[in-house]
Formats: sequence, C-alpha cells, structure tokens
Amino acid sequence: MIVLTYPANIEEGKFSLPEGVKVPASARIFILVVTDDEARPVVHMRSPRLAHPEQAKDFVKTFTREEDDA
Amino acid sequence: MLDYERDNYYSPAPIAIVTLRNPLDHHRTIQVKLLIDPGSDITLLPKWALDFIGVSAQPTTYELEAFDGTRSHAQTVVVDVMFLKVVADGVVLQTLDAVGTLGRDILAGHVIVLDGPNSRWYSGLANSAE
Repeated sequence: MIVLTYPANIEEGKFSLPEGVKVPASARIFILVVTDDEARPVVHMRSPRLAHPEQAKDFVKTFTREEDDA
Repeated sequence: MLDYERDNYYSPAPIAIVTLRNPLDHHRTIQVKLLIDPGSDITLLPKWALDFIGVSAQPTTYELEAFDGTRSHAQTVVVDVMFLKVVADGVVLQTLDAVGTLGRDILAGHVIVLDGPNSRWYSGLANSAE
C-alpha cells in the first residue's frame, strides 16, 4: 500500500484538495487532522543543502544489500 | 525502471518508491514516494510516514538553506531507508511536507540513470553494497 498525503482545505464542512492534485476515483481516502501542537517550524523546500556543509559527515550512511525490499 | 511522475509536478519528476522501516521493529514498514533530488545534500522524510511506523524525531536539529537563501531547521530521525534492495541506516531529517526528498546521502549508495528524453529513470548496481 502506498499512502500519500496532501494539504486539504475545509469550508462549510466540505473538504477540497489543492488545485492540481489528482486522486484516482477508486482511491481510499483517510482524513488526518493535525492539531496546533504539531505546528512547529517545518521544511518546505526542494534541493535543500546544509547551511553548515561540514555537517554532511553526520549523514553518511551504511549500505547493506537486502533481498526483500521494494 | 519507473516513468517520471507527471500528475503532481509541472515538469515530470523522477519519483522513487522507498520503504521506510522502524529500526527497532522491522515489522513496521511503509512505502512512500520520494523525489529523487541529487541537488539535495540530505534526505528528508515525511513526518506522517514516520509516525505510521512509530519512529519519532530526535531533539537534534540541522539548519538547511534553500536555493533562494531561505533557512529552516529540521529534526533528525533514525530510520532504515530501503531502496532498490539496499538498506541505508543512519540519520536523516524529517519534514512535514507530504512528499519527501531522496538526497545525495542515500543516492551515494546507488547508480541512478535519469533518462530525461524518455521521462523515466532506472537503476544500475548499488556500488556500496557490492
């Protein structure tokens, strides 16, 4: 199962998706309510880079081959 | 090989289907779509997916800078990222965006061919796991 989320608008009790978002007619839709305590500063950017490039070493990964992933 | 996604992007975009796994409970997994973004230093994973598998962010934050100089902070998270039969373990960052970003920290373990003229991408060998 692939789960995708999009910000939704609610007006007079009716939900609507942002312009340009297409959802298949057969899709199962769940409503996720985000409360105010989740409203922390968030990242909304593409191609972000570290403001302090020397920190890149903190993100070095260990790669292991596995046979049962997607 | 996957076709670029056209529905939610003005310009067709290479999207990877990646499995996220709770490192403390391997039964808790979820598949998400991530934008393949070699311009990104690091990988950003959507919070909703991390919540789904019970992985919480850590208090440590890193400062990020966008192409226009905008700066933000993002919390770290420890999660297994499974992509093209390779598991990458280590620290990534969390975003509240609906779709995350597959950055160079994980792309470094793969050979990815972006076939722009045919709007598709495909993988080569995962050199770090050989």
